[in-house]
Amino acid sequence: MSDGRPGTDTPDYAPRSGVRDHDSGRRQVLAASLAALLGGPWLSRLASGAAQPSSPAAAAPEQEAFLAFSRAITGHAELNATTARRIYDAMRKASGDFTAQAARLGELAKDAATPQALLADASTAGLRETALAVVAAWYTGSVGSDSNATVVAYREALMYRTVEDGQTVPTYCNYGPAWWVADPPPVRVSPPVEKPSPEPPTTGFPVPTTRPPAPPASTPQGTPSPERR
Amino acid sequence: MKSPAFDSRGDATADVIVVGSGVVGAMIADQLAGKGHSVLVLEAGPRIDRGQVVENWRNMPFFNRVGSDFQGLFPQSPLAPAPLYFPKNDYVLTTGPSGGSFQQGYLRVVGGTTWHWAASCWRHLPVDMRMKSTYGVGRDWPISYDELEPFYCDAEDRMGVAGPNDPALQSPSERSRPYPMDMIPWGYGDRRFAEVVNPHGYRSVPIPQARNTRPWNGRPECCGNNNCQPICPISAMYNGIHHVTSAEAKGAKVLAEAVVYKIDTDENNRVTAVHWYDAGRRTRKATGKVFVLACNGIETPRLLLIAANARNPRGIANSSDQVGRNMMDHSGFHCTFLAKEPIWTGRGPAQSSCLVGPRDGTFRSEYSANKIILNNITRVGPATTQALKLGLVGKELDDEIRRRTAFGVDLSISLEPLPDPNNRLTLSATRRDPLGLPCPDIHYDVGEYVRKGAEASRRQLEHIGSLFGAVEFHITPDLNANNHIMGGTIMGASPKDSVVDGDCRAHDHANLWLPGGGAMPSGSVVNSTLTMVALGLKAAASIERELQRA
Amino acid sequence: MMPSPPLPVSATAFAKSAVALLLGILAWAAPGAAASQTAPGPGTDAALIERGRYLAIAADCTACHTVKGGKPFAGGYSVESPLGTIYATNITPSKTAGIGNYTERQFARALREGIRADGAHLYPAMPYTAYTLMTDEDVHALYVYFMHGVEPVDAEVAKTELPFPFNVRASMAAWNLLFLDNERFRPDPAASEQVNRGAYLANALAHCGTCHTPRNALMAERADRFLSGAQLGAWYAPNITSDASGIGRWSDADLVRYLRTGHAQGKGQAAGPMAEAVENSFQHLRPEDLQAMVAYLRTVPPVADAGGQAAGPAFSRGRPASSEAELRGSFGPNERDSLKTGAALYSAHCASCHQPDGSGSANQRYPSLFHNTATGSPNPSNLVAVILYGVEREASGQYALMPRFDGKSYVSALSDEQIAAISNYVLAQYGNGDVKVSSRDVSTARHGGPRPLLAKVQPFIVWGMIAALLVIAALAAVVLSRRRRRPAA
Repeated sequence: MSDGRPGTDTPDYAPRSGVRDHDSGRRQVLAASLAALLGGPWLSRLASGAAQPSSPAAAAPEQEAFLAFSRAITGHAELNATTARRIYDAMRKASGDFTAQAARLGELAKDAATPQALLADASTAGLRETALAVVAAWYTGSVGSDSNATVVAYREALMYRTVEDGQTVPTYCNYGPAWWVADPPPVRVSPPVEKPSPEPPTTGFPVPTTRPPAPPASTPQGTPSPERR
Repeated sequence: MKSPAFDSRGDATADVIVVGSGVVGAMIADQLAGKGHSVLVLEAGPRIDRGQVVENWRNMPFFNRVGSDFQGLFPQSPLAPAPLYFPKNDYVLTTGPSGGSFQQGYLRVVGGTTWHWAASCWRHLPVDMRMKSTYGVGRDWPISYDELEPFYCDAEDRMGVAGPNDPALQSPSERSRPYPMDMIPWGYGDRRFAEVVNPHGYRSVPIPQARNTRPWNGRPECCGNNNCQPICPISAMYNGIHHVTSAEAKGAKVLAEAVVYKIDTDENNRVTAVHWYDAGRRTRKATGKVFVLACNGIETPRLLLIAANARNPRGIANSSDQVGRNMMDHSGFHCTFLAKEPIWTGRGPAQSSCLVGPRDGTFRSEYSANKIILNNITRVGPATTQALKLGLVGKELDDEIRRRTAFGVDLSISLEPLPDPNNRLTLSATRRDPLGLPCPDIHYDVGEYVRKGAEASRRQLEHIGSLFGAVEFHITPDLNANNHIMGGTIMGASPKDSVVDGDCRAHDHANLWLPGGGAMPSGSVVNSTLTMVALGLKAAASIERELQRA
Repeated sequence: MMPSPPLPVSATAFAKSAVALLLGILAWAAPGAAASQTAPGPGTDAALIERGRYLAIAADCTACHTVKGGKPFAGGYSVESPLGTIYATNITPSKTAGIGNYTERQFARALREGIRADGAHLYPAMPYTAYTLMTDEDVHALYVYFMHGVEPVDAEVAKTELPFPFNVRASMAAWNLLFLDNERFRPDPAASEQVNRGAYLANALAHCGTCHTPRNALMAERADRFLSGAQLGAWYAPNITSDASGIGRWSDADLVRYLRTGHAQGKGQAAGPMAEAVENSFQHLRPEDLQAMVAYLRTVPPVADAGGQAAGPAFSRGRPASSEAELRGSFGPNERDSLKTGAALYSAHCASCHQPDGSGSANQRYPSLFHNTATGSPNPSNLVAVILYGVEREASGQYALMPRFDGKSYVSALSDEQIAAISNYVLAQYGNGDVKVSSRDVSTARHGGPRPLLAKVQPFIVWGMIAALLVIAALAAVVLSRRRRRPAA
């Protein structure tokens, strides 16, 4: 991986930007006054069709229904069809009941006016856990609640969209240097009130000691949950 | 430019043999190669690629990421395991009343653990090096802050530390040179938090960090992608690998997947050679004039004990019986709450401000100091975990995640350990690594000094929570590790109760140096890396004098 | 009349110069006229020195004569030419190490004829073929500046020692015969004052043609393709004629902004040698001077890029496109070596700044990869070079840095195969999908770009000369023996 690594002298590791050194072709050309210049034989001009990103496979009806359900239960219209297919496949692998459950949920989605209403209908149909598992998959980008989860999305995970006006998705430099000095956007949600929620995981290298963080419930109903740590 | 020589068998000869390619080993290799010596660096772990590690992190299950699995994304050599936690491997066994609090994360790879640090570069206070004579607890260093200070400056210059040049914002303010780069600017969260707590004496200051605030040394400036832990995608944060690269350009040779297991000594108890296993389990030998073990605070004492020989039956460098003893870390805990106003942490690098008011005071004769970091890693993951548990969907779910992210605060508290010889690393009698070498066991008890310090800190946190009108206020009940492993090869004036002298040179072996966290006789409450690097540079200066004399 | 580029090469001239090279004609005898020292006294006009300083910036003397971080104009900068290392000289007014003893006439000769005070020739690494257009007044101002506005630095610099036969400086005499028009700038009476000013700035001072005009076999600029683009080691100086495949579709504001800051959003950014030109020279020029150069460039005859017509200008190509939906989770979280495709490598090494869909950061500090001449060009040299060598610029108060990814990288060192894969992915996703890059292309760029003919041929030149001498000796022997056999009259 590291061919071309030089054995030549490099200046002492010192605080200065070291990008520019002998790479200025401008002066090379001026210097090579008696040399002929071959016209870049290495520029190959093979015409070939530009590689397109793979288009999603022709959507089967169950995929369409699942995507429609996903849109309805999350309230987000702009969901990626490829990601939907991958979530569907992962949940199908995790639970034999899932195909039937997904079909039922797809039916319910046609009539539900709001995500909350759809969840209520799903609960009535005994499919609350499955519905919430689908929600968790879209929001976290992982299908499954533990280390064996199937990862289908990272940057497009819906949880990041909720704060994309105020934060970057970690590992991406969306805004350039020193962007965080500016004031954050208006928060547009009401302040928190005490709720009966579990203690949140902390971040920044606490190693789990006696108590691992409680993972969200995200297994389809009817399946024994995978072994928890 | 000199390089090590290899014979047909693959055995090596060099002026300087460095075991361990983390920040300390790499810095020493770079320094001595730059002075024209041939340097061989033996690293137990593999070479890794930054981009591969970035992709590994993005491909990690949500559960691991939100649980801060900062080890799992880094490839390991099958022959040189390091601790893993998802699930936990049994490489290091920790026991004792605080065994659970000493579960360390470190990397055995080329470049070491600074691949996934937060780059905080604190100095000890002058008084931190005189704990015994000032507060009657712990040990004094055999060297003073003033003696170490030029090496602190040198370390900051080499790593590129961005820090505040206003003395009112410095901790400590005793410094002979300005920082090479201006401080990482504060975001709204740092500013607002400081505004609220500072009138009460908590003293929030900018954290000096090895992170570029302008393009520097061919590396870009920080873009605030908030992923410092576990990997900076753009190399704006300093990693030990940079000095590996620099050392190699100066002729040093770094062998990856080379696990040292044996140390030869002669009749004067000088080290003559080390032996290593390569990736194919073949054994090789490296002969040299001087030897440096910079394997980290667990692996260096482990190796010294493993390499016990006839002349040194208790372990190399262990006539004092202190190798592996006095293990220390900044045991810590977390405080989370939701403030009544948006704080919007999670913008910019992983940590930028810290409360150092509780860092010093007369109370230190009775209980531990502490520091309180405003954790700036985005709260989106934990917020989502909680919000999903509430069974919300649609806009309610989006709002709840946004609420818990924008109003959420996570404080990370560090406490100061005291060196206790019973906090001890020994070799397991039963567990062996894939090469058949004994795994480390560590017995740990934080002690009353730390427990009382934690209690005092909890009261401070409750006060801070009240200043923010906190709801859902939690303090984690257990102490967690902070990976600042210290003490296992402790520094002192007397060979009777210490392993190395003020240059990190082993008392027992005139040509063996053991720089790093293991040498530190006191931990203070601040991250240990800058002090480790300063000690490494001081050791390099001492090695250079020795090589000149020879 | 617009200043004419050097004469095209004729066969006879080629033969003459070839013989000259092989036999090594004697140094161009350049009897210096009696030195007339202009010695400005202590009352030297500050305005004149300032004018000289501005001219030195416009001519970018510092680019070669100042080592980065070193004293201004103290020389020592080494140019890694394909023919060997050339060291730029100390042009401070030091009397021991610099030009402190130069008369103004000697200064003018070096600048405009490529001949130093001791009579030896300079290599055209010093662009005297452009500076020859400078007026006497400007030369005077520069002289006054260098003598009185620059600190003398008494440090000697390394001497240039090219391999034989390039060390025979005298051979430059032949080259100058062919290619140096020792003539001053003549304004075009039909053009406006602004265009003439721009022509002077661009040709006499900024010497754009030196990089942007392609050259023939003997390294002469090709007048018929003036400013239409040229290879520059690993980099490519693009077409800046008024054609649509040049700058024809750039607005004046774009061009001025590009020269001032090194970046025009939705068009392109300056890297490599041009980044240095922006940083050292263009960003410091007066707005009216930049506008004049732009006005002049609009008058340069359009020359189309080969094959570039149909698809539109280089900056018009591409759109946002992300591979995340397929790529994410396709490998596990603990891989050692899973980055095999261009898409995976792009995500790992490029997407942090340029984003998974190539759109760059919101404020374009990290530019988008579509609508970017580096990816849209029919020549991918700059894309490959920028990955290998990075970008570093400070202009108009802003730093721009893209790290390098070659063996000297402090971020990640990428192999030829990896860079080729990333390049092809970026070209297909965001730029000119007809263009392909091979590992060999990357390797060539990594080692300084395509090697000129003469560099390849250098080892054989000695043998060639011996062969030629033997041929000449044989011919002479034949001729002489024939003469001897002729009966006396």
